[in-house]
Amino acid sequence: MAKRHAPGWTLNLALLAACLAGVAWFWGPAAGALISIDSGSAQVLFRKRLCELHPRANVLVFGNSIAGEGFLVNAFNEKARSHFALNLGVPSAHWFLLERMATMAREQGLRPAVVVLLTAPEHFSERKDFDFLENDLALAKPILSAKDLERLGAHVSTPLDYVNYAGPVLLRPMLYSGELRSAALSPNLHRRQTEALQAHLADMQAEGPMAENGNTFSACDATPLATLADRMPALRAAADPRLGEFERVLAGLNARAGVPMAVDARELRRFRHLLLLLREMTPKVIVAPASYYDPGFTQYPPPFRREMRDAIAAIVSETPGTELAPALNTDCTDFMDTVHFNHKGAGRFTESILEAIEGAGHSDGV
Amino acid sequence: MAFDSFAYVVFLLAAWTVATLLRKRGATAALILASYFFYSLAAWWYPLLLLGVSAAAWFCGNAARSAKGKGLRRVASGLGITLALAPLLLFKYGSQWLSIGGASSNWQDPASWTMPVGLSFYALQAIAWVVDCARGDIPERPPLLRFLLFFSFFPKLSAGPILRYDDFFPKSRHVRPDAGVLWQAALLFTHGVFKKVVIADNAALVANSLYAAPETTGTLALFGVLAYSVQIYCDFAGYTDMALASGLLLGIRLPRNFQWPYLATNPAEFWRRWHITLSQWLRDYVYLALPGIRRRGALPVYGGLLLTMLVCGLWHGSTLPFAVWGIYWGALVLVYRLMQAHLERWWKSSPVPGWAMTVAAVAMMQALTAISWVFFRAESLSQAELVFASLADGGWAMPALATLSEQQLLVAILLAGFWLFHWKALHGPLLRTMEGRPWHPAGVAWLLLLLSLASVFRVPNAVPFLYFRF
Repeated sequence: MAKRHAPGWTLNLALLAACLAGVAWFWGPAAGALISIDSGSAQVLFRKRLCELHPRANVLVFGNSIAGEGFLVNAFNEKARSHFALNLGVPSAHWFLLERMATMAREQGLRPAVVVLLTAPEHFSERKDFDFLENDLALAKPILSAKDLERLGAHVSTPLDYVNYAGPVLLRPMLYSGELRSAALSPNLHRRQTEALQAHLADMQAEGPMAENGNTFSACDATPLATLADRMPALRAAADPRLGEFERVLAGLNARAGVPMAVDARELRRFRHLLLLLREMTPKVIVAPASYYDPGFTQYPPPFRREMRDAIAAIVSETPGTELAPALNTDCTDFMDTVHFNHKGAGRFTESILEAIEGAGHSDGV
Repeated sequence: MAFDSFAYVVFLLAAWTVATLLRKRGATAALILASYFFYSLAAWWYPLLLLGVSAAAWFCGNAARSAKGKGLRRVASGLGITLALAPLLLFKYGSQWLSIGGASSNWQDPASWTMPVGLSFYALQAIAWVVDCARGDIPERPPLLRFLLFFSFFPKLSAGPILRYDDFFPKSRHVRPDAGVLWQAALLFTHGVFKKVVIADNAALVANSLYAAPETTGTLALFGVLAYSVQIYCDFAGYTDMALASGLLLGIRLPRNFQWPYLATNPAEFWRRWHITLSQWLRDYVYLALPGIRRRGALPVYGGLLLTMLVCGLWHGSTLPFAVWGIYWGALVLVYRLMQAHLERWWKSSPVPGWAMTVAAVAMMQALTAISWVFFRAESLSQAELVFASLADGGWAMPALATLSEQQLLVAILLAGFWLFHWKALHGPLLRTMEGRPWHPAGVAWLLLLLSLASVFRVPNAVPFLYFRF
């Protein structure tokens, strides 16, 4: 009897070993083999490479795409007297990824004198239809380590929640579902895009300009926003050269308008946690609540704006070494859509940050 | 807590460990506590509602059983049914009634009228219990702990299967570690995960894009409609598989809810294969309870069929499309009943081979079922009308493979695989082999393959189980 069962269990053990080897591969070389230039995680790898190339950078900018688009890093570095900045903003980054980008910079040996944290309204309101933490984990996968199992604790509410998020961190293939799906369905294209990412990372040099927002489209051209959806068929029919810009404005507006927004205590706790962590790595943290173009209050209703502004101010004031960035008066000429600065707006914002760091004396503008 | 989450697997294994370590009454008490805890994770006050409905059913059912006269029995059972139905009607239709009545806008706020998960299911269970007690089908008062577990057992709490007390306990057994049972549970659970995470969630993306923009080409409309047909089945059947697997592990064999419904050859057979426990409940407590049905007069029988299917539609939701969906199915069943004898004669005398007739009948039922899902999925009749208009006069050009997005290509492959797997010659031997040879390496490899595919093709931020909202 024992003999008859032995081959079965041997094979089962072999299967188990193969599974463990597979998971181990995802903890190791999978990032290089699977992440393509189209993957969200590629943005994390670009920033990691920037940190490797510029270990002496002493101003780090964190945030989501609002930071990515809103801070003109080359203009800042050209004008700054004694500072060199890196823009580490990653599209759609939420609290966990912001924390992870900061710890990644520290692991790369950066010791910033100033950290600029751009916060978006979405950072302060939980959304039932989108799991930001799950998204952060998927984006952060190439830099996740066993220590992240401990970090996760600060971002979840209950032990069962913890289990839900720690599971994919342990069983890595789940975090690679986008890349694996693409590799399975379009293997050749995926391979080319993976090679393109590796080539791009290898080509990145310490000298030369870094990528930054050069978009000059003004959201004024899309106003009034309330009728944009109705005007789109005519714009499409006329093949307007700015159609892509209008589409982006409308897509952003549709994604945000009418979404219930309310300041959430758990998000504030995560914000406070991040500020404390940033303060451990730098003497000065500048918090810059994002500007936005929302004249009709369709994206962010006034009570939410008020509550968010007060909550940010209160937490910043009670955290030593942190300060609020100077408020910026903006209008539609500063935005390329309802939340992202265009080149002009980004220039104004960068100038204001430069002044906050080095003081006045940069009046000729960035 | 969704069944397809890591947290649920940990919770289930913890419940299994405790139930294995304790003796029978202790295990029952532990499972009740686990079930109430499970329910409280959805909202803190849900367990109070469950306890209230259970208590009302317990007292009214027992009063109906022990009542001396027919009148008293009717009062007790009527009160029990009313108390079970009241929260269901209030949460499901209350906001609409209040809005018709011109109540304050606060009452009309849909957010404040969220339907408690599972209420639709355990309210029907409460009615079944009370009626069975009154009819004398449950002659003895059961132990209270058993009754509470029957009501709250967490694997079936959120979306069924809908149980009768008699179905629940004769099939329960003491929980003990058993390799065969563990294998059966693992196999069933993995099949459920695959159906939900891989097939249903991916098909949902194609179906959702149709209903977000229903004015499209005929080909894309058909693709979206078929995708929803597969989504709704794999979503609900996937949930049910996971529920049955959980029950099996915890010593309770829950009844099957699906029996290859898309292989039905006529509408009556479809409802014997689809959401079986709801169909049986509707038959026993609505259709057979209607006056005149047992005398088999034509008018009561046909009227009863239509009414029962309308109730079925309204149980799913209070909007007009659900009512139309119910009437549509009532009409299909009714027409089939009227033509049944002719069809059977024609079937037997037809020169066409039997297998070809079966394939044609299955294909026709597929089409009729897919049409019904348009009403089921649409948020309004005008949206359903747009989908039908696209099906009717959109372009029918077959899109080139290269123009399909990765997502569309994946769903096309999944749909093809789904239909192919319905071929008995394929699934029969495979499932028999898997079920009959616990922990055989081929079976283990099959499970690992399905789990790997689930991790590759899972959809981030996927929709929760569809039947949670009913």
